[in-house]
Amino acid sequence: MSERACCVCQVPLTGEARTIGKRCYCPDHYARVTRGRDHFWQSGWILVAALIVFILLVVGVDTFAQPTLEGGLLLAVGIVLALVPALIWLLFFYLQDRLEPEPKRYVIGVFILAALLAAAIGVPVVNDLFKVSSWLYESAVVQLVGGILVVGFSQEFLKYAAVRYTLFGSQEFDERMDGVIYGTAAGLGYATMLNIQYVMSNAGVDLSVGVIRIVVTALAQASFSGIVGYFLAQDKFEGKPVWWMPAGVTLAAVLNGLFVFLRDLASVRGLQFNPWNGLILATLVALAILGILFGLMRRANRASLAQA
Amino acid sequence: MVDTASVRRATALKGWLDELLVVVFVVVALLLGWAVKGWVEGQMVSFTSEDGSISLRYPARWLGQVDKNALLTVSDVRQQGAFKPTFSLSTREMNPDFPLTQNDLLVTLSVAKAEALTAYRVLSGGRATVDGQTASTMTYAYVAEAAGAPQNAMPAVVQAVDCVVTYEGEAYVFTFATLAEHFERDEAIFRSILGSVDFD
Repeated sequence: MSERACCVCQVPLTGEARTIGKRCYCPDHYARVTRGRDHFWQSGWILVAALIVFILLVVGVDTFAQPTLEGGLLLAVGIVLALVPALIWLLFFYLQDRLEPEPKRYVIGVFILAALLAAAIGVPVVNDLFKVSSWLYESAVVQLVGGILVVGFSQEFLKYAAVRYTLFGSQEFDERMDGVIYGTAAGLGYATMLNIQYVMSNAGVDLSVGVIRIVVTALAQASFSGIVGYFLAQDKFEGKPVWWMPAGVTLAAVLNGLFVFLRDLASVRGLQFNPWNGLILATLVALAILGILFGLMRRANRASLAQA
Repeated sequence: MVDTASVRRATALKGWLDELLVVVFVVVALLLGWAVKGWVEGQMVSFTSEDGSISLRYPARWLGQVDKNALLTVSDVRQQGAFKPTFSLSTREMNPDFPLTQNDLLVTLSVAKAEALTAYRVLSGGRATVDGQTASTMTYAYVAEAAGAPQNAMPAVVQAVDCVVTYEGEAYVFTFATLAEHFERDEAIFRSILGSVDFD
């Protein structure tokens, strides 16, 4: 007599089990995995809007008040700015608490782990081992190819690892949406470390230019790791073929490298830098990816429910 | 008969294969990236100043030019056009008793070039980062005649940029000039050269 177990809680299933693809579920986890959680997506749009408002506030203060910031104070302000996008996202996520029973410590844990991986591995690999600043800008083709192969793959793999080797096998990862949530948290953690490193290496930043770059980095990193999170969720809950996850990481890496290439193309003229073009691009990319992931998740949940 | 343990083993094995394949993909990508890095660097030549205070890399196809006022002057002589893209590096010792800012240096350079160059115009100023040091830049244009050009040849409109960095009591001036119509295309090489600068 064959016996199947729920792929989330490993409880043996008696009688007819619910399935999605090749995965079996107990009734409780089947109901969870197909939950839509539309309010998460609503908070995603609101988050993007909140970041734009944050930028306008900082630029407004810098333009009209023209604060004189130097030395340690400039550095401290820069670090605070680097932390704000993640804090805004965590605040919105916390406000969903009554609807989203996701353990906050896990979300924060993935965030911190991704930041540590960025500091310990990601940044040293890109800046010290590959020394991209000395060769990546040789030509447009080299910038695009090198950006994908080196920067894209190293960043997306580390964000993938922050989720895959921690929460992926746990019972807390019990809904499709968890993939996107944890993936986004990993992306924000990685972005926060990149932003802190950017502020520290320049001993502080110009407020207007710096805040735009910080938000652009946060939006982009969160978007691409949201894609990785989606692929992780589909792999866990539908038992995708063995090429599925490599394809997901590759897709995120290609989008990462392509985004940086297009952002530089739009923002840089000679040695002059217009950050607003990069912000427009990042906002459009984040909204597009949010929308696509939302549509894919909704379609997958509907297909699962129709199958049942 | 399939038992739960077998299902779990099969699932775990499939999970390991997934992870292994992801790692293989990433390793292959990084190796290809390393190959691209090696190829690009193979196209570059290293230069180090006599006192070892600065080193950088420039395209191997560019040829050195004689310029007694500069540590290094190289041009892409194979480029078509009346004016070849040219990069030069020069230094100025700073007087510690009368320290000049980078902007002061740019103004000094600008005055000198206004006297020496035909139809000299300052286009814009800005900031950059060279080996972690803040730099000041000035973009300008002028009219030049190609060396050895016939009398009836059209003079060339040149766009150039000076990038000034002060480091350990010395001012380093990086200058890049090319035909104005090619400036946006060619300045990527200047950014690449600046990216390779290493102050010791």
